[in-house]
Amino acid sequence: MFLHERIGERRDAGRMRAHRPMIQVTDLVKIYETGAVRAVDEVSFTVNEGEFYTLLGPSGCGKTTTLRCIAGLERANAGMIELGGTVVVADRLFVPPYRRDIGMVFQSYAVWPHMTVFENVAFPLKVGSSRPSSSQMRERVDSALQLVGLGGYEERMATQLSGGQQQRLSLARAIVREPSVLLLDEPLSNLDARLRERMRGELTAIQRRLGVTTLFVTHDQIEALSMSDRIAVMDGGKIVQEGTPEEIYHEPVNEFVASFIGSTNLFLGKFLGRDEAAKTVSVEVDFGRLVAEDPGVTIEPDAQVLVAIRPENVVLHHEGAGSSAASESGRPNVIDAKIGIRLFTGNSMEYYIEVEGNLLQVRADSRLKLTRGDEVRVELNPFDCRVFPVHGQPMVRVGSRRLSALARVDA
Amino acid sequence: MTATAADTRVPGSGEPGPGPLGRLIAAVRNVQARTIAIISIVAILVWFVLGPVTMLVVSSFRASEGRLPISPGVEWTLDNYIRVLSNPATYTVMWNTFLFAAGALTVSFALSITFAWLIERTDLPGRGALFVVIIASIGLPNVIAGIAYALLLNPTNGLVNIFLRNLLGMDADGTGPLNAYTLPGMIFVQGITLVPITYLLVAAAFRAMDTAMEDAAATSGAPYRTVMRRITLPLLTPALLAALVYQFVSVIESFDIPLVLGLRGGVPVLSTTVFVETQPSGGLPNYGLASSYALLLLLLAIGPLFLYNRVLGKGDRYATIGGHSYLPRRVRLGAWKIPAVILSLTFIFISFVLPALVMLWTSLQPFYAVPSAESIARISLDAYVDVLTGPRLQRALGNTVIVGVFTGLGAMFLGLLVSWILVRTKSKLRFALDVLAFTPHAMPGVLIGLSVLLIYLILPLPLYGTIWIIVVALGTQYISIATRLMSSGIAQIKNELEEAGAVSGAPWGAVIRRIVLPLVLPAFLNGFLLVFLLAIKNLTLALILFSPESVVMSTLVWHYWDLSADTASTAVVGTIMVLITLTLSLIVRRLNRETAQLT
Repeated sequence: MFLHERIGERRDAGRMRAHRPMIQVTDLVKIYETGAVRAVDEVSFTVNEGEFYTLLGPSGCGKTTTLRCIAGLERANAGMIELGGTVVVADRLFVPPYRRDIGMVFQSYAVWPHMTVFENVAFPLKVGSSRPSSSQMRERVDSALQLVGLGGYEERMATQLSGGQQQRLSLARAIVREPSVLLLDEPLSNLDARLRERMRGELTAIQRRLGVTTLFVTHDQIEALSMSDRIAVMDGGKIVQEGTPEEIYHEPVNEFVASFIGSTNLFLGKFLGRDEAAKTVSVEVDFGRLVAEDPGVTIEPDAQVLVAIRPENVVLHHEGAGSSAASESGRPNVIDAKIGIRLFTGNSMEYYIEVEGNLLQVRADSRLKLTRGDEVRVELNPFDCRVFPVHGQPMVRVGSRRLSALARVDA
Repeated sequence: MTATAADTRVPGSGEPGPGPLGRLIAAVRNVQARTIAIISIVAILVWFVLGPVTMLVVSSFRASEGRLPISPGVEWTLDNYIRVLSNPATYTVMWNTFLFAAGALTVSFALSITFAWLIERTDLPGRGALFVVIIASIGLPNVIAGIAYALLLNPTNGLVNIFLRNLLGMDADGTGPLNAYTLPGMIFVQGITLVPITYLLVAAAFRAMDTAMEDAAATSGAPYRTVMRRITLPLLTPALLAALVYQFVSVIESFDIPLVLGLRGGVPVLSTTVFVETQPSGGLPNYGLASSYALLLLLLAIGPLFLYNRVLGKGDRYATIGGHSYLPRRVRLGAWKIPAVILSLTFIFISFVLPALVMLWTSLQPFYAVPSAESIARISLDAYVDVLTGPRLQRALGNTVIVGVFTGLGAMFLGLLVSWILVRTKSKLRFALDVLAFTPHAMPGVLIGLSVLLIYLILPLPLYGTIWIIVVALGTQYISIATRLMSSGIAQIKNELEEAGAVSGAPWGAVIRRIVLPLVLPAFLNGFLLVFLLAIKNLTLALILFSPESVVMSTLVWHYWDLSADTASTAVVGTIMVLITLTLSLIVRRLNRETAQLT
């Protein structure tokens, strides 16, 4: 019986008990001796059986430390971790990594250079408590290698493999024990762009086929969005938003999530008021009044807020500023603007458009060809505009200001 | 400059155009400054490295008993080899050398691997302090370590022996139970003095290992002991083997401790045998015989070096892909903390505190005595006053500074130029340079000393008997380490930085002066201090090339100890010397850390 069939059976059994939590992290805290910063600050989340769950965030956000605590490679200062219903970390309890039912893929792959491909994959079976017979072992190693597409490479030295192959080997080694939890620590970040794209698909396919509960750590938003069932975005040791990829992308809860995932235009403004009936709010920004979706949180009048809109949601009208004005008049968020810079990216055309000294990034059809100085109108659908209250100093990106100075049409 | 450019210039300067002379001038002008520089450096290395070796080989075939190998009436002969190989004592000496090397390496590697693991991978309390003490011990010259342990462990009135005799209820006026003047005594002392460098090599191997390799085994279900046995040790093996062979060369050529402990105890090894033939206590030196012994020693040292290079060559096999760099996970020692701390403290006490204290104590006593109420009452600084006001110490101090500064500068400048050529040019002479610069590493100190001695005895150059012959010999000895240090320094400077200088219009000389030198300056300074330290610690060369004019600190210590048996003066000079070398070693360490942070 092949590995995926066996695990598949287990998964079917698991479906009966739908949403059985396989990883449960509660109030996890990790403080490193050097520097009293809380690398992980009261993080809690649950990953259900068969789920592909991603911790996403910039470097230093605590995602890898969280993963290493779950693996038992770091000792948490506080909090509780349960794996497959067994408590592995609690107040006075610490189960060492080798007693946890896990498989892990490392960023550097960590394939052992003094062993062959076969020996690498067989290692977890040999050192485990239930040592299978040698024929069983061969069968399980073979099926794991087949699954990752390394059949026939058994006798090679691990270091004779290419980077991509080492990565597959590392994956085969992690799943050969049929662990209840698979931990992936930035496994794709050492691959070149083309290979990374292909491995995204393969890794997802293997995970779905095995149905193994997977915790994935990455700083790459595309990996996170495309592979995950659910994502937790982390910043400064905390989870700032948890949700499906769609929720994270379309409904970011704050400025950090909005700007970290995908590209976003951010404008600083002053909160004017609510329209309860239309479920909108209005905000005064540099270039006028914007109507945006009601964020559903209380905001004091005149408070500072940020308005965010994705470049692909900006609608361009370019029939000439005057001619079709009538059709757009009366609709909110229609603004006169000038084309600043045009970047052809293949699948789209990216414009930086000047709106009264502000620069707006717009993603349009790649066949739409406007040139610098062309007068256009942009329309921002209120329900594509998200408003976030600003706490303290807003992180409006300086880069775009500099670019806006450079791109000024009349300069 | 291209040939065309040269051709157009020749007629312009009014010289005959295409004639043979013109072509020669053009060819000479074609030679770039850097080619001339490369050729001169090769020539310098040939002179300093191949010259002595050639002289040694020649002299080993000369019947030169009591005379110089190249002088009228001396004939070619195989006699030296026949005498060396047919003498049963030769085989005793070789067996001693082998036992000495094997024993000392076992001691130093057992200690170094244990401490490297404790310091790098466990939560041992006070591991920082242990590290500092181990590294600072580089500043303890071997000759002084040898003398200190002789004071502690000599069979009649060694302090440790007297203490043990009291403790064990033995006859207080008897001898033993320990004896430094034996093969085990030599092994123990040499083993301990090898620890700092061995530790650095082993710890570097631990640090170079990607700890994800171990983590991967842990998450695969392997308990810590299995991880150690199946992953950590096999991965460390190539680096440990390399370190073993490197240290084998050090112990084979080791001279100070066999001199201090082995000669008195009647345990000759190869290095001391060469020395004895060169400076016999009675009779005239036999340079031919000494040369044959020295070549035997060279053979012993070179064998494992080939192995060493093969191991190093395979190092690439273990090159892996980088990931995050974590602080390695530290093993919790738990109850094992207590024995680990006791072991560390014992080591610090035996290897550092005890030798330092005995030197200090002895320097304060008019004659060597066991600490007691009477002897404490006798404590005085008289010996310091005597030594510090005497002319010998002042001359030795001045000479030591000259030796340190000029050896350091000479070796580092040569090393800088050689490594620049090795790392950066595609010169056809690179291979020759590489071999030439590496050879002195395999050349035992006594061999370099003897051959430099011979060459300047025979050539009519006014070097023999001066301090400069010692500088030349030390410079030859340390060119390898200087080249190695500078090569890694230069390799860290991206080639693009030099290319950027060149495309900005700077000629080769300006690129070196304005870009390379400022960037390698930290590495250069650091290397200079290290060579300075090594040079002033060195007894071998200073003793073989000794003349009353050229006394340095190390030879002064030795002469007080050996010739005048004046323990107080020995200890005073020893204490002063340790203060200097210890300070230097701490500065080197500090600079090392700072430059490591820079890069």
